[in-house]
Amino acid sequence: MTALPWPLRALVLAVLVLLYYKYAKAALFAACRRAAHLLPFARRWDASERGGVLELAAAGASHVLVVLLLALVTGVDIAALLTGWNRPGLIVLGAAIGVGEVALGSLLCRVVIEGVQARGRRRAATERGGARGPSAGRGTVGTPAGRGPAGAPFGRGPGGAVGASFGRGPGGAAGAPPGRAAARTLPATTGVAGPAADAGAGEERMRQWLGLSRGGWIRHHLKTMEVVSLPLALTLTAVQVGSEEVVFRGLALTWLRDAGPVLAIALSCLLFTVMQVFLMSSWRAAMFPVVGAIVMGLTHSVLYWNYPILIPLMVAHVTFFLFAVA
Amino acid sequence: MTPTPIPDLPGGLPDTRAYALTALALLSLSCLTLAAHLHTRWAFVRRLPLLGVHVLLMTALVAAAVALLGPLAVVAPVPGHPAGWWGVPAGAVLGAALGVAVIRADRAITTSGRAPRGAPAGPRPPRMTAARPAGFAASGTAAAERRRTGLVRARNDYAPTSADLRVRPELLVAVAAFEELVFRGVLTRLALLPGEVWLAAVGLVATAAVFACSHVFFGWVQVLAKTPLAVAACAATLLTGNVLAAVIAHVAFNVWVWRYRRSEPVTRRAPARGMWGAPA
Repeated sequence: MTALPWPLRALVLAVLVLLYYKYAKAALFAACRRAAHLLPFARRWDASERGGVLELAAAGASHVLVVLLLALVTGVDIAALLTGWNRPGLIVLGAAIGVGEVALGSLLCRVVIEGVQARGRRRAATERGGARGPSAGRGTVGTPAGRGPAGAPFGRGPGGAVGASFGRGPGGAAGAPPGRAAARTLPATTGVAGPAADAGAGEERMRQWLGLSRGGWIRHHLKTMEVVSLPLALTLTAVQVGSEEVVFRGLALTWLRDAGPVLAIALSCLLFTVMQVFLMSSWRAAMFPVVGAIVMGLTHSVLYWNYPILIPLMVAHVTFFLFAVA
Repeated sequence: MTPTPIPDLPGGLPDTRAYALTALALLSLSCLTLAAHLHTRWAFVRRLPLLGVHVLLMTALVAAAVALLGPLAVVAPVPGHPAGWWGVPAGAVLGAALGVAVIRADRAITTSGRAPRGAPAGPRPPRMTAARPAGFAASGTAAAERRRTGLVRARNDYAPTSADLRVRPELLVAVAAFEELVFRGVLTRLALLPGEVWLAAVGLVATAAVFACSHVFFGWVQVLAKTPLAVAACAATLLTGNVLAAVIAHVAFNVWVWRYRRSEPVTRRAPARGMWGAPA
């Protein structure tokens, strides 16, 4: 396969990614959920918890097998990829990069959520205005900016969840007055559909969105963090996300090096991002991992292209997960 | 097939330096979000005000940037700028002018979505017949709801809230100064590091966009409202070669925000919600 031109290599890689991450993993997780009922810890862990741990363990094990298969297909030397163990400085910096990526990803997620909600509020205000007639509708004009009190911790959802950590925003900081003022300057005749009701509905929608983000494949990371000991959970997570780094940075960027930096990095990022959507329940639920994958994919790919050292990038990926899930 | 070791970047960056600069760029871009994460995650951090955590984080980032890029890189991010020391007085004058312009732009954007209020649909409130004490309309009347004195809305039910006491002006001034050191100092220097014009332009636009987007926690309108500040501060930094103009404009803006905020009366708070949105 090493003699193939790079477009065919990219195609082979895309097909393998699709086959494994979409179909093989779906079948594997279905089998794990069935097998979870046969496990003996029924009193201690419920079926969902057992299934989550089993799914993550199976995903990690199968991922290692896929890495070996890809190494055979591509002819890339896996042992030569796993460099960086002897660079503690780089490993610490990798952890810092992971923290920065999760923070930047959560900011961008918040931008998307607010954008979608603002569009929905505007549409609702228009519909409401049309239904009530011009005089009553005027009172709802300010609602897009109308928000709750400045100190309200929007998005603080259930503690220790991916969605909650993505949605945690600063409350009670300096920029609040104009939005608050917009809410307050509405006439008292606005009635129940006023800014307070809208702000409450916005918070509710945000909470629902964050709840959705706990589904799909993120669920087995959350369940594993909840039920097994931290070292075991860390190991299972590290095997899973470390394999992703080997596939999408180590193997993909090494195999597609002939394509040049822009194309190789773009293809690697595209596959990495598309892979996040598989097995998520909806595009809203998939938004969190997709945005995180874009930030992480670009950063890690550029770093790996210039400095082919994989272990610090694995540490960054694990730190990202720990910060987002724990 | 083994990975081909690539020689250091044209600037001669060893890998540790590249990793450190990447971490610095990511953490600087997301410093407010990261402060919020830390603030909500650990109880001992939550004892501090959020803006205090934000300032501490930015102090650490500025210190790291000084260690990595040198002290001048933070305050004068454009290397070899022709303005030289003349950039300092020019920055002071430009900053004062920009402060006024940015305040006006912010107010115009945040109030542009509101239509002029017409007659209320319901019955009009009863007109006051008695003399009003101290020149203020009593609350609950249309006149009291409408009356404004400059930026400060004149209402006779004002009482300082705990939030008013929490957001202290010195913290707002520190936030303004450090945000400019991070966004216009550190990140501008990082954007100019590669030496290519298009990369620098992409970096500067991304920095301004992320700065504006970091205000998304206060609503989408605030992102639009903070865009003029981001663009003006970036342009002033490139024009004068130092961050003084950006710092002065941002400090003036934050002082205006503080004055605006402390004039706000108590509002109705949203009902407390517990986990999963159930009433607490």
